[in-house]
Amino acid sequence: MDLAEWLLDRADADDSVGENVKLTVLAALAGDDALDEALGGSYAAPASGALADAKVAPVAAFLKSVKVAGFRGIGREAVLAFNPAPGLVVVAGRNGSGKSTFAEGLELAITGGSYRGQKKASLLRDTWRNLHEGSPCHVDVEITAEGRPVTRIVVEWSPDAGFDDRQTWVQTKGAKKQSGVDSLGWREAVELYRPLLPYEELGAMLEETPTRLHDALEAFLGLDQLTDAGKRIAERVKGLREPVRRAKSQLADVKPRLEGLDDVRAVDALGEVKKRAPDLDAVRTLIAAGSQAADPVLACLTNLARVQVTNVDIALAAADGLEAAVTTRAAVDADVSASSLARDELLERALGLHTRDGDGPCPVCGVGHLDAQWVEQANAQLAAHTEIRTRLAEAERGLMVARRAAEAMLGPALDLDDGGAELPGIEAAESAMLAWRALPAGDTARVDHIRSAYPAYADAVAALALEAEKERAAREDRWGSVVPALASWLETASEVASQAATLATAESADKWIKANLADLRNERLAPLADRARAIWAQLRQESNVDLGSIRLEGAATRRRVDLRARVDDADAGALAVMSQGELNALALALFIPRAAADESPFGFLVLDDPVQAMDPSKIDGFLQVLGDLAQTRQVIVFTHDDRLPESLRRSHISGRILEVSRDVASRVHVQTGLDPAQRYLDDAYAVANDDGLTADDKARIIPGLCRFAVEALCRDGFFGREFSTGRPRVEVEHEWQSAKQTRDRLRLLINTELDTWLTRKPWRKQGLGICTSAQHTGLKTDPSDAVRTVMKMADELRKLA
Amino acid sequence: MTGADTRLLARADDLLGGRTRLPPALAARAAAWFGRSALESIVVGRLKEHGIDATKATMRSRLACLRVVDPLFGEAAGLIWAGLTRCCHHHAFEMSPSAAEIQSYLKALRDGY
Repeated sequence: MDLAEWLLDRADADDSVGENVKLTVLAALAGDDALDEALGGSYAAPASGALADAKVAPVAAFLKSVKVAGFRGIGREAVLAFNPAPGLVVVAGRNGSGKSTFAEGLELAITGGSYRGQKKASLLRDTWRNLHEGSPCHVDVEITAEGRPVTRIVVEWSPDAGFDDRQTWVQTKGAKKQSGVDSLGWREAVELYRPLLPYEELGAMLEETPTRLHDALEAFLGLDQLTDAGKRIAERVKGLREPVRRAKSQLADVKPRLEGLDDVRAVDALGEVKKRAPDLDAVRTLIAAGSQAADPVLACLTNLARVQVTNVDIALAAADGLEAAVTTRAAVDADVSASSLARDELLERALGLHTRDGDGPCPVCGVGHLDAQWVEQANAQLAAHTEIRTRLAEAERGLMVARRAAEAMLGPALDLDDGGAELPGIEAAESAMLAWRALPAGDTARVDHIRSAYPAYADAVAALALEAEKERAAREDRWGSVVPALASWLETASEVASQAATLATAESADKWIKANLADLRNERLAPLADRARAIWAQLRQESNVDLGSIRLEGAATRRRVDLRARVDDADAGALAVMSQGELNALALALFIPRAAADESPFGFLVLDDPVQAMDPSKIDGFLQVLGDLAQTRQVIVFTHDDRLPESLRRSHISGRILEVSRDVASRVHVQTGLDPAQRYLDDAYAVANDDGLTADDKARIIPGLCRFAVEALCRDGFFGREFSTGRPRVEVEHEWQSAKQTRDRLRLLINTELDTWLTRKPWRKQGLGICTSAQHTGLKTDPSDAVRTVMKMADELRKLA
Repeated sequence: MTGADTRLLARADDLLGGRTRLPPALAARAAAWFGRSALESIVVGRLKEHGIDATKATMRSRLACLRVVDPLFGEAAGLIWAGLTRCCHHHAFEMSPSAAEIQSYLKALRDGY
């Protein structure tokens, strides 16, 4: 099933998953942009099926031939021809026979030189051109694939080209050459399924880090799309969590600083930030309030700082003024006493009397006489006294003014409230004020009071105002220093608040996809694990290690493959208890199913020297694995020792042996050492010549073996030919299965003109007769002759294939 | 399986179980020989069931006959016979067969039968 579909089905079945989470997962599958849209709330789910990615559909391929010239150990062109159909081929050759060159050339062509280890690559780079015949230099691989005629993959070098200067091209019969191998569309599949499995890679696989092994297996499960989606979401969650983390650390910084302040704004802000969901607007208002905040202490301090009293100099001047006025007044008094205001008054009235009555006696003494002379005398006296009276009035007025001025110094009582800030000067100021305000009566006493009490009072108040200003500024500074940090936090917290819903969605999606990926992984791995266990069971032979579950566990840097094993029925980690040979077998058990996966576009599987570390008994088991695999796959095994071919020769497993040998000047020869048909015919010949068997028994057995031989040839020939045209495999196999009789099967190979073909040579019809009717009617000729007849026909059939 | 076959297999088991005075390598080879004899006799018995008298036939043609009349057993028998034959003989540059290896062939033989 399509991954996206699988995921959506699962999400639909899961009630705990909200629509937005589903949409997010879906968008994550579609890509980064879609995911951003989904998290931004503007993603519209695409129509179903639109998620399938538009990769080039890989060809389902079999190998038809490998031609190598001038490369590595092969000089003059040598050809390794395969039947492009399921079946087992063992390519055997001593070290240095050129066998490995075929394997290397094949790998170079198939992978485009991409996947061998660095070490191998550099080795190739140094010694890649054949020393005897380095030109022409090429690797030419023919493959068959469904839906297209035979396709060539060619890697070639011009005579003086370096290893990296090679030209690679692909050409399907009847079409143009295409540069590179990408047009085959199997770049990813080659990485994923590894249809070519060299020995050294096999060994390295399990020695890699657990993470690498995990990734190799996981990649194979084809979950890239989902894994990528998971990564995308995880990335977003990380991004969205960043402000949360930042707000937290900013708060951790701001909180203790707020706690150290008794500013009412700080107290309020602290109250907010301590809440699970702070009222961000309230905090914003607090920050904006500035120094106009309604903090009572701060208000008192502001007032106190503004308190002012009259300058001491002015006060002292007033005291001096009063003192002077009093003195002046006293001086006038002395002069006034020299005259007499009452006498002047009497004189004025006497003058008034004289003015009215004229000269006459003095009404006061009765002796004197009031006349003109007296008038003159009296007026002069009065004139002299007027100046004194003026002075007196002025002195009186001056005194009044001085008194008022002195009294004005008292001023209003001051409100000396520091709001509880406990300024050090407050008590001194209060007592100075108290002392000053106790103004005594009497001018002189007041003058003294001003002089003694006022300066102390004025100083104390001024000092207090200064203290108040300092305290106010300090308080303002402390708050002000917290404000930027608080404002930063506020900004981050606002960001967090605005993204909270998005984060929640992303987190749910992340959690969900992780949980389901783990399930899906192991669900997909299960069939592979089963096959690996089955292969292991065949390979282990005498090993006491039983392979248990194989699971992908952990995530991120802790991801690994959990291989369980039982040793003599005790549970154990698999890798720890295995010997080198067993590890090798395990690697084969794990990677053969991978290469043979149904989804793999490669019908072939190439193993380069897989039996190196195997015991003879394991080779028998391995051969059986290969035989089973060859039912559905073209299995090509390169080997440098005799054990596998020997085992194949002795067993009844159907397989072909190609022997590679090299003579002088890198001339490499390939000859068929054994093919399945020949095996049957050799057996038939052995039976025919065995005197220990009765003629009747021979007549029963020989036709059967001959029939197997002919049918094997027909099958190979028919499959190879049909696959070479690109005909779908299912169709070809079905046609083969439908042809039940040997005759029908022969017709598939010979085509329509079977009857004509049969009559052309005498041994053809006889041969077919031996394979078919002889089973019931018995052999009409000598058994050995019968086998020879069929052998003749077989030679012809081989040429047809 | 005839009584004789069973006895041959029992002898092989005795040898592998260390119930002899032979040194282990020799005992294993001897066990392989007994096992192979049992297999050969079993194959003859099996062919007889199919109406073929292969008492005097070579093992090669006996196995060839099995390919026709009983392919499944034939395949197993072919592999086991080849394996045991290898163990019966001394080969240069090859380790002596281990008891476990021969045991696995004998087990396959009993299972296949």
